[in-house]
Amino acid sequence: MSITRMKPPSPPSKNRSDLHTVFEQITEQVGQVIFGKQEQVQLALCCLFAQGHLLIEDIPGIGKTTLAKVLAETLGLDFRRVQCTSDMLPGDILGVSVFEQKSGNFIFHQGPIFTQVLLSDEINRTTPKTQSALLEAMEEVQVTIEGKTRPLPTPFFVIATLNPLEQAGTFPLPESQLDRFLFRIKLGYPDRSSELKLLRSGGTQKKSKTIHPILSAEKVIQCQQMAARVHVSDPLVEYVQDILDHTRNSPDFHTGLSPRAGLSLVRASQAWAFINGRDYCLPEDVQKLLPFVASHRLHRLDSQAEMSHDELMGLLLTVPVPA
Amino acid sequence: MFADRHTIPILTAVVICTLPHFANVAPWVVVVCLLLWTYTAIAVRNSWAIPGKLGKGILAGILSFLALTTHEGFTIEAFIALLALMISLKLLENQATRDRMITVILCYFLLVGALFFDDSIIATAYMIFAVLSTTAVMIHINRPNDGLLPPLKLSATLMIQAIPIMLIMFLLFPRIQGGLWGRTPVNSGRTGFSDEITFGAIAQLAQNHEVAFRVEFAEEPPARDKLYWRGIVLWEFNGTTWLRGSERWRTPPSLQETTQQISYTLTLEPHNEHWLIALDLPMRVSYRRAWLLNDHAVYSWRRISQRIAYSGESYLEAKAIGSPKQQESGLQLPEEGNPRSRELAASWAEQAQDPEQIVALALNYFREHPFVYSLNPGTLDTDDETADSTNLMDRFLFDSRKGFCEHYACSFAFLMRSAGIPARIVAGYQGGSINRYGGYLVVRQSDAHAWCEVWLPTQGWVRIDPTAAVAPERLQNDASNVLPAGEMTRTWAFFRTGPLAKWLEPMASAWDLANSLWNRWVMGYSASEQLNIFSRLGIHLNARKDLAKRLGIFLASALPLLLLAGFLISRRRNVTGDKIAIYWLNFCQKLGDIGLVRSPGQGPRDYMQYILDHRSDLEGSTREIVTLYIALRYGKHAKDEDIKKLGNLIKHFAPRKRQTQ
Repeated sequence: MSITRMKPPSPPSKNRSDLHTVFEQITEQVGQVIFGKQEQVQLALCCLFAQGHLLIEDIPGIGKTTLAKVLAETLGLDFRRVQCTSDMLPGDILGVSVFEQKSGNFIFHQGPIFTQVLLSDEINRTTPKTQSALLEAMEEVQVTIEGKTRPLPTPFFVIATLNPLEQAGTFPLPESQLDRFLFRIKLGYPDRSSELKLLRSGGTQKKSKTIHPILSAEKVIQCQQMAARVHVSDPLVEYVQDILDHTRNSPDFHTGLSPRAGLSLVRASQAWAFINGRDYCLPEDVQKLLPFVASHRLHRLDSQAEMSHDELMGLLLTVPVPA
Repeated sequence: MFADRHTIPILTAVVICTLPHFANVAPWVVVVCLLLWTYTAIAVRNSWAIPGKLGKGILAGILSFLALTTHEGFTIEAFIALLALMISLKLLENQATRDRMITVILCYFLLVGALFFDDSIIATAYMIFAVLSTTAVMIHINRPNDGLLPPLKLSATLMIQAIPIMLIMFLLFPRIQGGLWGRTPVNSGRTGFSDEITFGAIAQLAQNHEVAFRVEFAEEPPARDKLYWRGIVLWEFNGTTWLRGSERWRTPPSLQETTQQISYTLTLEPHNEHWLIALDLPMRVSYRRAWLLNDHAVYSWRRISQRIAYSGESYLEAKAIGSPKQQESGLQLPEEGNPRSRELAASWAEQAQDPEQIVALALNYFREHPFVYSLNPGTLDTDDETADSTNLMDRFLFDSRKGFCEHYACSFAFLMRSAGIPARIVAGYQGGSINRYGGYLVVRQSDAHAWCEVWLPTQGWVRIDPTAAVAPERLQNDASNVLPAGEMTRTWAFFRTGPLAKWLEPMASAWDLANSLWNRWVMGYSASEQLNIFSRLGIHLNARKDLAKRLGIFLASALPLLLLAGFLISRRRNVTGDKIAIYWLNFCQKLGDIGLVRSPGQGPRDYMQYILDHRSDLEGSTREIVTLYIALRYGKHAKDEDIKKLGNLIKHFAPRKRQTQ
């Protein structure tokens, strides 16, 4: 399983505005298959460049899998998919050693986790044991099987999906596990024109064959490094801290955002600024990403319900941007 | 479920704010409040469910009805009771932040209400403490994770910051003299005597060491035995009680002037009666709507429900000239009763040649028989219902011979009237003690006294104090020093004569001086004092006509302070001297002035978009400024010349309001 499978046709130059056009190309190409979801595509890209993992919560049939697949192909990365079930064991994801009679040795068979983009479908259907095996791998970017530590390929990007409707027979992710995901996004129904287009095209499966890779694994890693170098000024750090502070002191929330959430917010803002061709972060970046970073980490005080997107935007209205 | 971390602090605030009112409201209100508090505390501890709306509604209805019907109508007490009950009830529903805030804000109303009842130094100190803790609770509600101390600190800081505004409000906010806007009388907790006297009425006061009034003399105070403080004059005897009588003589009194005129200023504590106190014999008392009656009592049109100060002039040895009408009233007696006393008086009338001799015989009678000056007159007490209430004078004069000043005064007047000499009873105070630091005279309720005045054809009305015949020391001392040992309460005796008296007395004097100054300069700061301050500054105003001007002065002095506070708050973040921030705020201010206000949560790029959406004509300059600002603020390297450039750009940025839309 080689890391560089294809050579990128148009290597991105160091120039930021050129990079910006490359990202636009990516969005556009994914957009040929998934109609009207440019924002989600950009967020997914942002998540990847911020070296985070993505959680997509939505009903079945909305295009979660297609998005993951097309994105992986466009970026020139390996793609594997795991359909989580309740009878799944950690070995089904990580891999197992099998005794080979010919050589008389145990030979390790890599599980689906040894890939660059892993789609873990309906992660809440599998048992906590398997969940934690996966999530551990996400955090460490390596797996330890039978005493031997094996590194995972880089870049390593997990897209997990959740089905919010079915509650029977699921194992909801505890908050500590949810915290491992940088973003939680929703896809949502397509708008009218997108859906008309979709219906006319008769599905996306055949079109995905026309997808060609725009980036490569090296380029993605390069992009991740460049995103991490995006300048974060003092007023911006203060602004992020003000937001964290507000969630901790406001009577509306059960518990405030953790320092890890704050770090995630800064990292994501850097990646977002990078995608938009800037080498510095703006408060607008923070504001744009806060709902996706915070919605699975904040709970309302009175009802224990999660905060809606609008409520989180309301939070931003009350925290002043430093002058 | 009761939310633990909010309910207990709120309960504390409610308790702190309600406690001072326990003396003012009906006992059942106290009991209900205590029950509700206990319930709340237990409910929090055990995480009980919150009672239903219907139950609370019915309870609220019943309690409000009771509060308004058991406090003698729509009095302040009734509303305080209502407020205390409803706040305590509100404790049962404070799940939402809004409910909690309402509960705490209502507590401030309770606090203000407490000032109607008590404005002493201690009450004010307690109020400061209560405001401090209530504000801290309010802060806690909004920032529940801060713990206990930071809200208290913040609350204290807020109070300290409010001091300048408080001073300006206190000194300059137009005060309105008493009258219509003054506070309504509060009925509870006032002591003093009423306008009638029965046996035991003054003896009750002897244990009460509250201050009745304070006096500052213009010159050297007169000797203690001359200090008779005239209160009310009683004309009518109905067999058991001496009454004011139905007649009101408002014609100006006349008196034989003597040389020694005394001027003084008297500060009277509220006693809820119509009487003003004046040194015997008053000639002039200057207080609004108060008159010197024909019997030299001073009557105020309004009940004295708050502390007042007035000046008076009196002649120490003067005697009032009685009118024939007064002489007639001074002889009124019930048809029957007390036959032995009447017989005794009649025998004197037969022996004596002139009225002076009758008076002398009567005083001799008190001196020669074993009369005892005592607080406990035994069975004479009219409160004792089993006792025979007729012939009280006989039983006192011939059997028990134990009594307090009112016993002597009443029986003496009775004897005089029986012997045909017009007599009346004067109730007031005698003596007082000089405050060693303040130099003023303090007269306490325990100095209450009653004496007689008889009309003699040659002299007019002459003061006769039969108590002095029985216990001559009384005129030189407090009643407590003259009374038999054991009759005064133990604490007071310890205070006055115990081993620590030497140190306690100066402390008490200092404390009284502090109270006196407090009353005079803080609580007694009135419209006229305010105008005095103005006229000292050269602004001469009229209390009634120039209300608008006075308001103007107040606003003119308060506004700069408020503006300064607002300015400091708005610039708070940039005190560090951050030029970029100051320029940016200036830019936002200029745009805000033409209606394009930046909301606090708006970042620079969003703000630019907002401006361009509304005013495309400003695009060039706005884009330049915002881009430069972003580069300086969020970019990697801020160059000094760029900062200067930003300053210049913003300085010359002058957006105009759009003329036509």
